Amino acid sequence: MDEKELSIAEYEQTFIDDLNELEDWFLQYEYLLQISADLPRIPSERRKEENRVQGCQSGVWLEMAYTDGRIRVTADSEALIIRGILSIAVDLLDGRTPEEIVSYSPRYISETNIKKQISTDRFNGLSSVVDTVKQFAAGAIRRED
Amino acid sequence: MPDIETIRKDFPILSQQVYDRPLIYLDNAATTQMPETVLRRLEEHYRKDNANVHRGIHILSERSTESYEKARDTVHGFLGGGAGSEVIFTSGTTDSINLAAFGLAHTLSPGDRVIVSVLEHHANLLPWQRLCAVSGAELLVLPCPDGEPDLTQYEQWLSEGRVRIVALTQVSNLTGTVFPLRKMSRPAREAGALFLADGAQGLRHETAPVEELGCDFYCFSGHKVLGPTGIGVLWGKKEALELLEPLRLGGGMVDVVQEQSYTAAGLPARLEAGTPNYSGAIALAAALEYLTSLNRKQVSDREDELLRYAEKQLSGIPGLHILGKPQERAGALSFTLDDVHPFDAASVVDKFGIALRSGTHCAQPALASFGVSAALRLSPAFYNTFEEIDEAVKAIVRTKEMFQKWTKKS
Ligand SMILES: Cc1ncc(COP(=O)(O)O)c(C=O)c1O
Repeated sequence: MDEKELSIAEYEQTFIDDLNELEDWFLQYEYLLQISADLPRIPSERRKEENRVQGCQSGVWLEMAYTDGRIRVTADSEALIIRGILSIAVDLLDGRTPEEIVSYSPRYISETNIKKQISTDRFNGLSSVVDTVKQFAAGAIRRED
Repeated sequence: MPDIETIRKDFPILSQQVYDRPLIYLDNAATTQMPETVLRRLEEHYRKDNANVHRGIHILSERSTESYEKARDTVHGFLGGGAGSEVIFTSGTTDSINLAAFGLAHTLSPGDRVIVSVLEHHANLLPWQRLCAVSGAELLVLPCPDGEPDLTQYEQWLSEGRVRIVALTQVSNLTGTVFPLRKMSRPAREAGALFLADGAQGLRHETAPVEELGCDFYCFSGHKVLGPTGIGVLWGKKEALELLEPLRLGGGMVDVVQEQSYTAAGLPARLEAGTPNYSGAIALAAALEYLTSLNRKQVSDREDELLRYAEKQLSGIPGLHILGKPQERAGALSFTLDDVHPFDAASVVDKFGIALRSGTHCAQPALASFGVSAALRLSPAFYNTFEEIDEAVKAIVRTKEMFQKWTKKS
């Protein structure tokens, strides 16, 4: 399946379905760890205060670029469960057009167990990851105009 | 002390299931649970006696005031404060230390020195940082290699003079290091310094009277000794408390007020502006009475045994590193796991029904002194069982295995 033929929302639904099919926490963590393994690392010399996402108890870093009409996103964290959650965001948003990104509103947190993970661990920065990418996309659109 | 099943029945919260497993609560350094008698006391107060204290002449106000002042006596007795000392109710340890640090600012001049240790909770560090910033005094942070305070450096600093305040934790909330307070307070006071102990983690462990420990000030939080949150204590020798400029001004702390000036009331009212948390104080007294009824020494011994057992079991796990090797450890121990971020570990261990603490433990310089930025912490209370420690250890091992599989791959 070529995910880029799916809209962000359609592609997101596959993650939501996958996660919600796994009946217990341990399987859901395994799933997140598995997808986190495919997320490239941001090397430590590029993990700076400027690209650190505020509000995350464990460090989260975000890198963005805009090339050839597409937004490029990657993210990293010291904690693997967070990396798993981040890799969903990266999979969904990386390589999309700014227009697609600005009109996206995330559901994979609110419609899965991830919301509980976030509330218990005060991983408030997660929603700000998506917000930051959306702001970046909005900036790209403004510059184009 | 009654047998463990009987004790556990006193704590309704402990008998619940989480994620379809029995709850194993090992985060007692963060907060302890309340026994039935404390919950009942709190409820009873609100059902029968509630009224503002020291304010009215009506019957409820009298009852409320009487319970509040009786609570003060109970705390005083529990701490073993002598006749020349006084209990001030605060909102917690943090509040108590702020009260002391703010109140002492006017006694310091540039060139004076204040000693804390690197193992302090932020609550016993930041107020002194600010005190030094505003007064021009110097803050000396005592190193604690391997979790043990460097007494040679300490004596050295004291002998150099101008140390006005020494503020040390009784028991570290990170490493569980028991500070040799008697040994450290004597030279401090001989050098003319005031000695403050942060007893937040120490009060369940140490049963000796505060006077014997050589403190001028002693602080603790109700919620770490089976009481509710939002109530704490600043105990002090009267002459030390008299030094404090009140941090808060308002009702209840005054004698005569005119438009442009006021005269302050005496202790303890002078340092308790505003409606105090009297219901919290009353419940705290019930908590201390409960601890006394169990036998404090036995409570402390049981907690030591549980912690020693946990340390032994955890030491056997390859790739697990316990922070510090202090001569005496009480209440809590912290550790890191190779290849597993503490955040990940705590998330998974939680799903086994086990409550551990992860993160910085409000002690960033302490963590940094061990070269790490986060850790996991296990802190038993007397109502925990050895079987619960076994379960926690098993869960930690399984968590480690789960992550190792993935860290090897990436
Ligand atoms: C050693 C120590 N000091 C101070 C505090 C602060 O206590 P509170 O948050 O109740 O004011 C704590 C609580 O974690 C502690 O462990």
